[in-house]
Amino acid sequence: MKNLKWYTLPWVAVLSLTMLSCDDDDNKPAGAFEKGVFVVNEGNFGIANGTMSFIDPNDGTVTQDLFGTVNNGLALGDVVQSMSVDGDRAFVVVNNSNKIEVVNANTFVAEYTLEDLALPRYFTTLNGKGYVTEWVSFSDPGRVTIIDLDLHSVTGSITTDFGAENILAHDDKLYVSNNFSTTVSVIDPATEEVIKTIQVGSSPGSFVVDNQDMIWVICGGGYDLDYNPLNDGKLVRLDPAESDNEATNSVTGEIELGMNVASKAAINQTKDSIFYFSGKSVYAFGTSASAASSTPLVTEASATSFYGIGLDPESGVLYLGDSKGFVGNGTVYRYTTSGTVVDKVTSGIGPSGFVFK
Amino acid sequence: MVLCFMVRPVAAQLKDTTYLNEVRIYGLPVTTYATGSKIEHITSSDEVLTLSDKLINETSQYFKTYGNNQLSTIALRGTTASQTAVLWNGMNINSPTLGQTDFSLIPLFLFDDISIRYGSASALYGSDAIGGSIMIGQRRAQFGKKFEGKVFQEFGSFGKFSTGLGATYGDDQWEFRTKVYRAVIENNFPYESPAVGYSKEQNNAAVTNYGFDQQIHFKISGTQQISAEGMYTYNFREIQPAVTNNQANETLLDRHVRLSLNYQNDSRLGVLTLTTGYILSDQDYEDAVISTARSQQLTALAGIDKNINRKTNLRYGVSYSHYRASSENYVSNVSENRFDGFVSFRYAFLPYWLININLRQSLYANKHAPFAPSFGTEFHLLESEETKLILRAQVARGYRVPTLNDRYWVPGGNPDVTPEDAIHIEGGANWSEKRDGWSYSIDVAVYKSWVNDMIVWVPEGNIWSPTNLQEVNLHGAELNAGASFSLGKYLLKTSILYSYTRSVNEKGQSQSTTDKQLAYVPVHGARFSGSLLIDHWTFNLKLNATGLRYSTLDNERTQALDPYGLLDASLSKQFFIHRMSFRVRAEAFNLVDVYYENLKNHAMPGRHYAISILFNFNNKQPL
Repeated sequence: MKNLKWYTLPWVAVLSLTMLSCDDDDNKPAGAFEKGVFVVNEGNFGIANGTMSFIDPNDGTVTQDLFGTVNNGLALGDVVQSMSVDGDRAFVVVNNSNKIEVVNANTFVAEYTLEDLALPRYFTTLNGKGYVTEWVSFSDPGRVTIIDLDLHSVTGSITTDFGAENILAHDDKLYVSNNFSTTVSVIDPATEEVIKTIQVGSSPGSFVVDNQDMIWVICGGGYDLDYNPLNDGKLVRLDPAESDNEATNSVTGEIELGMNVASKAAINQTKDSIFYFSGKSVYAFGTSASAASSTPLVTEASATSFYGIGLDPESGVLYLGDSKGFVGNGTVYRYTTSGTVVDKVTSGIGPSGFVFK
Repeated sequence: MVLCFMVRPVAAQLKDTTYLNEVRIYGLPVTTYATGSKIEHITSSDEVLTLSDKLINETSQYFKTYGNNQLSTIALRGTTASQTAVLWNGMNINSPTLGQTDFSLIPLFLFDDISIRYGSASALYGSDAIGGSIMIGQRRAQFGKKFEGKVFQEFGSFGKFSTGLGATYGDDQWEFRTKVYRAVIENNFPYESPAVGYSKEQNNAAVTNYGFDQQIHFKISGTQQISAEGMYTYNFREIQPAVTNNQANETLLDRHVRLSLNYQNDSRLGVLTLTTGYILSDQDYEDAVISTARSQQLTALAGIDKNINRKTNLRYGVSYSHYRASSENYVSNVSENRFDGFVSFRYAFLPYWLININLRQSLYANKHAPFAPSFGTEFHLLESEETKLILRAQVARGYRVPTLNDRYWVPGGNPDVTPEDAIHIEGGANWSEKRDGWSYSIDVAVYKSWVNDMIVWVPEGNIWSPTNLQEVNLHGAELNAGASFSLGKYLLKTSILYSYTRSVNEKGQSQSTTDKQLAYVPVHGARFSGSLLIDHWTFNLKLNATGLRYSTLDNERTQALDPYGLLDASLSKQFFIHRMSFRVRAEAFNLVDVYYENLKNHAMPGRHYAISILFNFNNKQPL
């Protein structure tokens, strides 16, 4: 057992104690990580040091490298891209390892691995099937690959457009933002076909759904040939009612942001305010407003550059991940939706996303 | 506790069987102006081996290797990969685009002469000489009628197959040397990484290298000599992926052409040296699509070295370099001129007290690099056949001109980034004794450096850009000691190399990284080596002990790489027939089968083996 990392043992001990002491509910918890905030830490490209961190909502304690801690030092893999929860399963998409690690969502015990994907990005489930977006390569169009969650196998793929990125399951349709392109693809999962391709803007990314049941996609903006930013980032509102009709325009609103932003966004509890960021500034946009404010909600002087955003639908707290140049662990800043700092905690390397459970 | 030894390559014993494995730190005639600094001379060994593997064995310095026979960069005295100057025939051969040398691309077989000068020395070697400088080149021509040939053949685990052929031939006026080599390895070694949890076979890590070197030396007269050298090296490698990645397919193809012409004339003015050289580097990185980077370098050097009187030496000169580079990430082809002027002065106050002053000013792209002085001194307290005791000290400035990528990369390149700048102080002592039947030598070095304006690439949104953000303080100590004992027909040789290296980040991007050890710099590194020679048999044991390395600048323990100890053993036998000699050798590496990494989550091989034959022929007769 020369390879056993001795320092994992105290961690396991600490975890068991935590499980005992936190067990003050009448209902026995399904696992130590049944409820809380998961931080996706991308890690350094090629180094396979991406991790998941877990923030306990009760006392704010952070468990680093959740997967390794629970699973005897195993590494999640190279560039941990995203995590998606479906019932008792969590699907951790590992981009440069071309796989999805499927774990128990409450204990984080590894269950199985979906391999042989092609630069997978985001995952969602709909009607019992899994759907994962894949870049495929930098020169091929991206696609959505369909996974049979009982057999743990691929059953088919639907080609979308270059850089298939975020995926949203909404009203029995799938929406895919194609990040290297300017489009959102609408997929009918019944026929497994793209039924509509919507022009939105440069570098589309995250989707959020507002209180009017409108889908918003954030477009990061483009660059000219010299990589100067075109400052054409925007929020685009899509009406899902138009998705079945190829002839009509799904776009019912475009908000120019006046700069390039990260292709990531979050929405507040009442689903009428969208948060996005650029550099170390966070911005808020009210979904009924007609223009975006160029004044940030907050600018974090001590941050290097924000890399991920999330909003806890239960507490309403806004989470921002600072990569700090990827030279070590990142920092997660927490704010109220009015931009007041709550606190900050340490994450793993390159905190790029949040999952609230 | 551990018996150990610096195993001098057995081939060297062929030429000089009585030369014991003393730690040669001192007294290179070609480095007259390096007074006060620590210099290690590495003898080439007629073996097909990368310079990286050779230096890992023969120094206690750390190399960040991306796998077996993969990219390998040096952290000399805790500095970054770009802070070691690598010079070939006096020309800096660090990549002008990346600013560093991949030591796995330098085939030892094509070079005779390797030396390492520790500590900052930009006054002598120009840009990049912050942690130290590594000189690679050829031994001087000796002229005289001769024909020497050598053949090296090795078979090893994981599909290793290496061949080297060399010949030296000439007369009193001409000397020709030809060397050709080829080395391939499948590299499909098994490993069991704790990060994976089950045994795997390494995928996508095969390497093919080949190359040749031709030298022509011509003695024009007793005081004039001209030498020409041409070298081509080819390296194709599959890029070894992280242990978690099963379907990697990236590859890297590197080709280098190196040409040089050197003229020397010893006249009343002094020894005039004129060198001109050309280096072409071509790199294709393939990952579904191919991206290429190409750079060319033309250098001209002129210097005069004058022995003014018995106490005083003076050298002065100028150099000019023209760089051209192209890459998909440059807006257009980039070109740049650099000019250097340098003066060196050496004076012996007393027969046992030397001082040395070197000065250099470099201009690049119409900007000036920091003015670089250095001062060194030595006291030769004892100097006899049997006993030597030398004390030394130096203070020097080192700098590093930003790379072409730092300034021109699109997106993010920053034309305003300024050179890195270091101040270095060092002291040392070297003590050796030789007596009938035994000898020993001890060298101790202690140093401190302050490195400012270090260039770091920092993300701003999606775009990364370099800034002069970082400050690092280095301090450390090194011990090199060796001893040998002979008793009848037995000869026992031992050595120990130890480095203590503190490389502390004083200023960086955030609080969590200040006062922390730089990533991939072990605080402790040691090599123990021992050999027992009986008749023409040699038994060697080696231990490489490398301390914990952090992989992140915040020194997160869970991301650190565990310390390791690697034990190697070899047994060889030499045969002599006329003017021919054969050496047959069997080697076992990593005997304890330790799983270890030099880059986070990149496997290195467990126990493995090699068998080699070296044939030498020497006939000082006309061709």
